[in-house]
Amino acid sequence: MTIEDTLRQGLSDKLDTLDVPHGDAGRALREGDRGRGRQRHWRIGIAVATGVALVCAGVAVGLRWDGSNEVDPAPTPADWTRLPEPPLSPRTGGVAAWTGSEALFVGGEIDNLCPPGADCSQPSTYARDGAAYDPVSGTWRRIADAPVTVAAHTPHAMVGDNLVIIGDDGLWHAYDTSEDRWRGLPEPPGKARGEGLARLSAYDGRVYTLGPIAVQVLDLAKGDWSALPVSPAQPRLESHYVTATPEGVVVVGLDSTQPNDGIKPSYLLAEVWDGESWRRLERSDMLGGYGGWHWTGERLVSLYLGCMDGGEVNGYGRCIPTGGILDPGTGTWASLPDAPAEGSGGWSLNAAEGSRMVSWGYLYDDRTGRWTKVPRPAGAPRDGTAAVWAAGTLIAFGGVDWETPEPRLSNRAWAWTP
Amino acid sequence: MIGDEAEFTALFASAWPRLFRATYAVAGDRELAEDALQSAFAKAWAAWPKVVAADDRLAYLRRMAINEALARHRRSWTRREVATATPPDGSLPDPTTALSGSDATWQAVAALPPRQRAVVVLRYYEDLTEREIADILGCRPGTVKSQAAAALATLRLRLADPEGSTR
Repeated sequence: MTIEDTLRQGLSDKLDTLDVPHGDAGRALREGDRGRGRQRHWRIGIAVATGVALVCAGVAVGLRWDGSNEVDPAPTPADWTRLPEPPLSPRTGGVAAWTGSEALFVGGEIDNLCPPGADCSQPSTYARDGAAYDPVSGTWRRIADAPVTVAAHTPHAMVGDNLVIIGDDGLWHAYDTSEDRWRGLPEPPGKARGEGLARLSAYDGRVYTLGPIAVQVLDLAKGDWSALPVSPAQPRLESHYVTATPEGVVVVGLDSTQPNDGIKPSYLLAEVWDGESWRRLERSDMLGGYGGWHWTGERLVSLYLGCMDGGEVNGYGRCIPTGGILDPGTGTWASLPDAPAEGSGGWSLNAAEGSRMVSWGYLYDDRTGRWTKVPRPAGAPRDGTAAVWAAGTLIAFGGVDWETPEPRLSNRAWAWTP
Repeated sequence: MIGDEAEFTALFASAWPRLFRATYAVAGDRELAEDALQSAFAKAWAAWPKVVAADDRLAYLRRMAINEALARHRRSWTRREVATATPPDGSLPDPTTALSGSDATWQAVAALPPRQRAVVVLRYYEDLTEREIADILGCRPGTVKSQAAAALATLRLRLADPEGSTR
């Protein structure tokens, strides 16, 4: 008997003789009626708001660019719409997050700008203020100032209604969107790994971060810290990223005994905590994982274009990709399908939602495997624009142009629904 | 409206037993399956015109029920998680105990990760195609294929070595 036949037989034997409880059709009708009431209320709200948004869109069209479009040609089904002026000064970077109803933009570099790759004697000045954009009403509102300055590199995660950050002071803070208030959070028992390189991942009301040894977990509602058991697998993983997914907590990193010295490739490894035990997955055929990992709802994607060949002497004998895909459920790795060349993209924004990600100037949809060059609206700065997906619409704010004699900051905002 | 209620009640009565079996197999827990299916039917009534307009009402309901079960399971895994400074000592609940019985096939399926279990149940109990399963789970057919392959590989090992089936 084949395994398939065994399954058909085994499942039928068990399920067909199952003692099935009686369902309650009356209860389903009552609960369904309550659901209908909520939907009607919601639809009325959307209808009113859509009217407002259409009026706003009319205003926005009036504000649209001047025709001297420097936008890279891109096969996109729609273009960007200029949004109303945000109540923030010009800036670049900062943190962007989607609350489920508003796009938050907090902090950013506002003075003493330091160009990418430059060795600047004076530290940059970062902001603490922020604003929220409601795409339904088409309006902005100022939000409470953060207790610390916030930069693009500030580790952050949305946990329910809370934006959790690790400030440059190393302390943990949360912005409660419903109360428009920041509050301090308890400190983890061990420092988050890598100081400024620390990354946060949120799932089911908890925040996960890499501690000195173990994955540390903050239950935001309780304010309690705990740690996952240390993985017994050897060689130990030099961890880079932790991502909490419905399949478990996934840690991706390098073999701690294999130096990343460019002589031999140090391939990425991963292990999964499923709530009971750690499982070490098979080795990837991928280096770096520098772009972080995004859970699409099906699998993890590291959208990092390009490859590494071991330097001028081609020490690896081939070019090994630095981005890729991991399915933690099956433990299988895959390469990014038909990945375009680095440097060939359009507007360089970074944001991810569900199967769709923008990075390197491309929109990549993991459901279709399709890449779309991201257009840049005229008047939009080339670099440092903060972006976030807002239920299918990409909202972008701020940025900087380095090619002008003096760096030119922007406080404009745009929306794009591809 | 009265006609709609009568039609809904008739569909409920006819579809409940079959959907309960599939939802139970995916959920791995009787109570969770019952809650998920009850909730799916409530949502179906809230969106009744869509159900009526669907080509296959049972398929529509199955999709709602399976996704309810998976969503509830996802919410429950962090509650299973035991966060400690030291590895657990084996006192954690055995994932197979929710599905009682000694049948090796049944227990091996019950120990699969939820999405793999859903794929196996929909493929080998509900007899659906990869495309139909992908529609239900909201993923690509390629993902269904890889999930099925991983599940079958695990099941071959577990059914050949039932003693090791829970690890």
